[in-house]
Amino acid sequence: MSATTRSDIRHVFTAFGGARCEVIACDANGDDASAVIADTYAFERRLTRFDAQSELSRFNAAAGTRISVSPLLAELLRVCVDAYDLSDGLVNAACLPALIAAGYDRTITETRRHPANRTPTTRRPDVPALPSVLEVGATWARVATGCAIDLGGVGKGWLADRLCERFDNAAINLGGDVRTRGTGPNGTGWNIALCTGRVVTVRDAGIATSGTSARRWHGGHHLIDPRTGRPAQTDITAISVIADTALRAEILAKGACLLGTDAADSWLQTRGGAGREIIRAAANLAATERARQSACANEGAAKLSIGPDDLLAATTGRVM
Amino acid sequence: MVLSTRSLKVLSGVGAVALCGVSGLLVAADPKPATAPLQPPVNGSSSSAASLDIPPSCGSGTLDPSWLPIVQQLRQATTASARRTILSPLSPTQRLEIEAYLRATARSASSASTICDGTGAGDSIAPSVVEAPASTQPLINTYVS
Repeated sequence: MSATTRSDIRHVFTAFGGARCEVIACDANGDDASAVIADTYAFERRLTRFDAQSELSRFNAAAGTRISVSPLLAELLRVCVDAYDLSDGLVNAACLPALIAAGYDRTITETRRHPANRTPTTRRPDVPALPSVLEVGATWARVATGCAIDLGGVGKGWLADRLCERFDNAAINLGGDVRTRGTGPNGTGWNIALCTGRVVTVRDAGIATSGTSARRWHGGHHLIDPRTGRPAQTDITAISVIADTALRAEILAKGACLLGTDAADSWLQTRGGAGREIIRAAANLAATERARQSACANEGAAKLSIGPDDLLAATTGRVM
Repeated sequence: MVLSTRSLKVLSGVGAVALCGVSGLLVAADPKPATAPLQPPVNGSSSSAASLDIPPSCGSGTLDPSWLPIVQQLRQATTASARRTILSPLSPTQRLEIEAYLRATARSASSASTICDGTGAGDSIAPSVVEAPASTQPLINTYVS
C-alpha cells in the first residue's frame, strides 16, 4: 500500500486465533495502518504459545534455567507480575499448565474440533503464585521448573495501548481489547458497544471484556480460576470494564469476572484509582444472551477480514 | 634423603586428602545467600515460596546499540505524527522492541520512588466516559475474546 494521503482510515483484520481486530485512525495514512497490522502479526508470532519456535515457547521450554530474553518479552513478563499484583493474584500468567490440563492445549479451532479426552476427575495442577516462580532481570528471565507462562489477554491489552499511542486520534481493537485516544472522527468521542449492547462514548480510554461465553469447547472454557486451577465457575458471563488503558481494563475485567457479581463491584471500585472510571456492564441473563450473539457476530465478521498475506491489498475507507 | 616410590605415593595421597579437606573447610566457611532461587517451589502456599528473594522486576533491559539513536529521536519527538515518521522505516520487530524498551525505561524511571506499575505508568490521561444516545451506532464492539 502506497497511500500517503492523510485521511480517516479503517482496517479490519484477523489475529490472535481468529479474533476480529480493527485499527481506526483519524488523520493518518495507509502506511500507518499497515504498520499496526504488521506489528500485530509480528507480536503474535513472537509470543504465541501455539508455536514451539516462538520466543515465549522457547522461554517456557527452558523452565528452570535463566535465559536471555528480548526487551519485548522481558517487558511483558514484568507486566504479568504487575497484573498479578493489581488483581490480587486473580490474573496469573502461570496458569498455562492448568489451561492445558483443562483441554486448551491447541488453538481454539483445533480444540473445538477435537476436544481433549479428559474426565472431571483428571487432576488439575495447582496454579503457583506468579512472583514465586518467575524472575525477570534486565536482560534475562527464568520461570521455575514445571511452570509455564501464558501472556493471554495481558499481551493483547499491552499491544493495543502501544499501537494506539502512535496516534493522536485513533482506536485499536485487538480481539475485544480496545484502546482509544483523542476525540474520534466526529470530535465527540469514540462510540463503543459494551457486552450488554449499551453504547458509551469515550475519549482516551481502554475497554476490555472478559467472560466465559467465548473460547469455549466441549467441557471447558479458557478462563482459568487460579484459586482452583479449573475453568472458572462464575455467575458473570461477560463483563466490560473501562479504564485508562486497555491493559488495565483487561486485568480488571478478568479479575471481576472471576470474583462474580457479589464481589466484583466493590473490587473494581477499589482498583479504579484516581481519575479512572470503571463501569461494570454485564452480569445478568439478558446480557448473557446478547454477549453470545455478539461473540457469534464477531466470529462471523472475522471470516470476512484480511490475513497477513492480504495486507497490501487491504482496503482503506473513511470512518463513518 | 631418598624416598621409595611407595613412600612418594603415600605422601602424595596424604597431601591430596589434606588439600581437599582445607578446600572443603574454606567452601563451608564462605557466606551463602539466604535463599537459593534456582528451583523455586511451584506451590505458592508453601512458606519458602513467600520468602524467596526475587530481584525486582523493574529493570529496563538492554537494546541493540545500533537502535539507540532511534530511541533518542523518539524521545525528542513531540507529536505522534513525528514518532510514526521515525518508526515507519523500521521492521515490525524493531518497532516492538524499541517501544517495549521505551516503556520499560519510562516505568523504571517512574518506579524509582513508587511501586513498579506497568499497568498504569506512562501517560495517565483520565478517560472520559459518557452514555451515548440510544440511537447511537457503535464504531467498535468490545467482546469476550
